[in-house]
Amino acid sequence: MLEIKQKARELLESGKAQVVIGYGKGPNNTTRAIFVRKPEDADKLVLDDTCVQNLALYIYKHEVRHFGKEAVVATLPVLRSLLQLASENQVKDNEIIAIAITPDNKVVELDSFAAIEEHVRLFNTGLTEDEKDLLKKINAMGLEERWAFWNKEFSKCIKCYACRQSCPMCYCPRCAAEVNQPQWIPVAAHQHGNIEWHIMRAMHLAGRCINCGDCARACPVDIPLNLLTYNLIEELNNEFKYTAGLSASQTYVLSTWKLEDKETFIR
Amino acid sequence: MVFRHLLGFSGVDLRRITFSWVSAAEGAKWADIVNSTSETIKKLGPYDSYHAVAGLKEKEAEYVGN
Amino acid sequence: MDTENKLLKKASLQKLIEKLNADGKKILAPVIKGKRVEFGLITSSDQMADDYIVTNQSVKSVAFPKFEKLFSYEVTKEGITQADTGYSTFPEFVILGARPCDANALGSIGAIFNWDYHDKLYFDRLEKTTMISTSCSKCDDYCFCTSAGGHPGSTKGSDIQLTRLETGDYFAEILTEKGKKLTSVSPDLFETAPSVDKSKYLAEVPVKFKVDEAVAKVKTVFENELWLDQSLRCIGCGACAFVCPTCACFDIQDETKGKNGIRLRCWDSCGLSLFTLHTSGHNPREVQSQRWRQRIMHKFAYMPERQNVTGCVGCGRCSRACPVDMNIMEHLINIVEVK
Ligand code: SF4
Ligand code: SF4
Ligand code: SF4
Ligand code: SF4
Repeated sequence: MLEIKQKARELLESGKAQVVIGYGKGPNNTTRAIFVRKPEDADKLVLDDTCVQNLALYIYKHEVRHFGKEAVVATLPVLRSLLQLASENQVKDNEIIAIAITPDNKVVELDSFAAIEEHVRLFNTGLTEDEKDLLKKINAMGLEERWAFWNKEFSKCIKCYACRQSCPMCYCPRCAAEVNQPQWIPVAAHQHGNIEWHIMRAMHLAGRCINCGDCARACPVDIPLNLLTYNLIEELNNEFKYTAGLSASQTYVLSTWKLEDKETFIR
Repeated sequence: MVFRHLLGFSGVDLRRITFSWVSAAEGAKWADIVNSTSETIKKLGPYDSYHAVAGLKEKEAEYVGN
Repeated sequence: MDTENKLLKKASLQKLIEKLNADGKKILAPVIKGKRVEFGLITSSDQMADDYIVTNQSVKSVAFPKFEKLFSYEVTKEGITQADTGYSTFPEFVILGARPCDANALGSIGAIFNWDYHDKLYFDRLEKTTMISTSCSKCDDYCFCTSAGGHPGSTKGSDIQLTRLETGDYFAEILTEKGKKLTSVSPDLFETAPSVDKSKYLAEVPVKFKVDEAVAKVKTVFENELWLDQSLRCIGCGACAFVCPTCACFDIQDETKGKNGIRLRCWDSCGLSLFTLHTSGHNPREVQSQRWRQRIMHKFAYMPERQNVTGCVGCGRCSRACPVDMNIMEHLINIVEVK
């Protein structure tokens, strides 16, 4: 933790970065994102198990970008988000400095996509066994049961869009849920509107979600949104051997094709 | 395929969904797909569990608690 | 009417619930839903959550649901026929166990819905609702009702208030005619009350600032960099507004099928970027700091000015629900401390 503070101070003092996006503490001993702009404030940074928010979404927030060059305290999900955003042309190489931790707990400064890619390879990026078990549970349900399960979950949705707003991959200035000519998705949080919203949201994250879990954590009514994304991660891995957020140059799996793709992928 | 999988995971009845790739030159294939799809759907009858949430009337339902 | 003090025995509460149900009333009370506590329909006192500070979502849905039909219409050869949503279709609700802040908050929404236009739907729904609140014996670090003009035993907005005694019985204050009418379904359940010092049973909610001070200060800091500092981590969702008992913004939507349509009112929030987006593409609140400022300004400057009430009752729900730990109490303290 001390090293993180030192690294942040160094970056700010040397002018290599004008803002360090990291984690700090709130009044009720909560953990929250903080934006350190003065070297003497680097002491406010913390890094522990409670630092779970995916900070990648702040790098393109207008007001944060405005401060100048950004450095970010980067957990694995943050790094994978950066690579995924890079592959979607949302960040440029050498634009962001990632302050990351190696598996043996050393602080490293990663300032190119190549360095981030190499770092990410040191970690396991597949679904955990627990995550796979949750999927199995849903898949084991019969059709009616599954429909009822999701209907019950979706009926709780109040369309606050915290799930979307917390997701680094949801950066569209105008979400498809808000396009109204034509209106694809009903605005009201009734059952029909909620089902369409959730299927649309999940589909738009297929092959892009890096499994940080923020959408589910953000939801004020505890809808298990991560189940939808686990499912897609698993499917893309099984069918195309594809995992999002591992490389800055990989092309989007659902918009590219290979000569050897079989026609059965459409059904 | 990915979308189909997602629908299935969400509890949508996949027997009612058909995706296919038909080139403009494949008229016969098109006819086959349309015929077989409409036949399956006819056999299955109305999709009651979907209509139960999608009609205008149902959207008027009194919202109580969460 | 003068308050009547009664005693409602623990066992009598169950009988009261049964009587009210038999009388055709729907009873909404805090129930446990997984990790959350929310208002839900109950038929027995066993279903009620026991140990909670406030429900995750507020009670406002009873009169201002997340979406509601305003009217339906049909396009015919002769023109358009319209059918209004009728008072008679609204259920009669009894809310059992809302907190004093929640009961108070319905008045704040009412002040908005009765400002330049009397919103009949809201008031009709409210008229068919009887509010039985329970005073708070506990609070947490997010509660600040005493800095927002309320307190844990405030009876404002309640028809009846229950305070639980050590015996498990309730000290019942019958506050309004509506409350009295409700007791008439079974008057014998409400027994003569012993003399009770209610304050003994109330939580001590520390006063963080004086509400007048906050109201006076907020007006002077419109151009201050604190809005930017506070809102850097805000991601611009609607969670805070949707759980808030006093947020009243809505969006109007039409849904049609063939020649039939319904017009719906749906919750909306000033925190969302599209809220102020004009058709021209211009957005007068372009960045999140302006939207955050609007949220606080509306509650602590504009509402006191226009409706003579504050738009915040200090329930702390927004802070508990916020995915990025925006803490309204902390931020208000910052504002009050501005020199
Ligand atoms: S969809 Fe959810 S889990 Fe996936 S990247 Fe977005 S916030 Fe993270
Ligand atoms: S965060 Fe939860 S309640 Fe809000 S829109 Fe997403 S799923 Fe719905
Ligand atoms: S602004 Fe927050 S604390 Fe105030 S009434 Fe609304 S939810 Fe409660
Ligand atoms: S304060 Fe929190 S809940 Fe409200 S808009 Fe910002 S991030 Fe969402």
